[in-house]
Amino acid sequence: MAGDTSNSKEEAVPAGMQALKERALAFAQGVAEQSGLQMTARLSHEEPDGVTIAFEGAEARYMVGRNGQILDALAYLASLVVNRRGGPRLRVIFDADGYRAHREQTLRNLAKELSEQVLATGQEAVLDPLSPLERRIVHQALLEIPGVRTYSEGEDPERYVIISPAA
Amino acid sequence: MKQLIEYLVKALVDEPDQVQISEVPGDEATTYEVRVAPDDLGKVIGKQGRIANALRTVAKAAAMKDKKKVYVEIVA
Repeated sequence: MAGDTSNSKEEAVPAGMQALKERALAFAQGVAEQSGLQMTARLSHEEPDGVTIAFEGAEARYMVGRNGQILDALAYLASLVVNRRGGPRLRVIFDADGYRAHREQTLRNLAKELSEQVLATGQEAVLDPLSPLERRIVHQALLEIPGVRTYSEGEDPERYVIISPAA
Repeated sequence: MKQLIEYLVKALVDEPDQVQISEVPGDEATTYEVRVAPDDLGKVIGKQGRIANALRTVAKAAAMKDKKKVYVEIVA
C-alpha cells in the first residue's frame, strides 16, 4: 500500500500538467478557429512543465508580428487562461510558420558576430531588448566562446543582453 | 475579428455570459468595444493595462491580413 501511495503521488504532478497542456492546446485551437486565418494549431514540442504550440498553414505567418510580438502576447494570454486556478504552472511558447527556428539561427549568428567584434575591440556590445526566451538563446550561444561573457540589464520588456570581454 | 476578440475575452473572465463585444465601424479603423462584468474588469485590463495590450496585439494578427486598423477598447 505504501508503494501505491508514493506512486500515485509521483504521478499526481504530471497528471495535473497533462490537463494544463490539453487546456493550452484547446485554447490555441480555438484561437486558430476564431481568427479567420487559414491555419491550425498543433503541439510541436513538449517538456515536463512546458509546451510549444505551432500554428501552421497558409496564413499562419500573420500570427508572428514584429519580432514575434503577436506570438509573445498570445503566450501571455494563454498562461493566464491555462494557469488560472493556481497550482503547478505550465510554460507556453507559441510558434508560427517556422518563426522560432529561423529567429534562433538569426540570434546565434548575431551573437557570434558581435562576440568576434568584442574580442577584436575589447569593447562591450549591447543588443536590442529581447524576450527572456531570446535572451537565453544569446547567453547559451556564447557559453562556449572563450574570452567573452554575457549578462542582461534593464527591466522586461526592455531588458537587453550585453556581450563583454571576459574579465 | 469580433469572434477572435470575443473568444479571448471569454477565456480570460469568470463570467463569460456577461461578455459583450460591439463593433463600431470607422473610416480608417474599426473599434471593438469590450464590456465585461464589473468584477472581471481587472482580468481583461491587467496591471498597467498589460492584458488589454496583449489583446490589442493579438487582434492585430487578423487585422494585418485585411490591412485594416483595429482598436480594442475596454468599456467600464
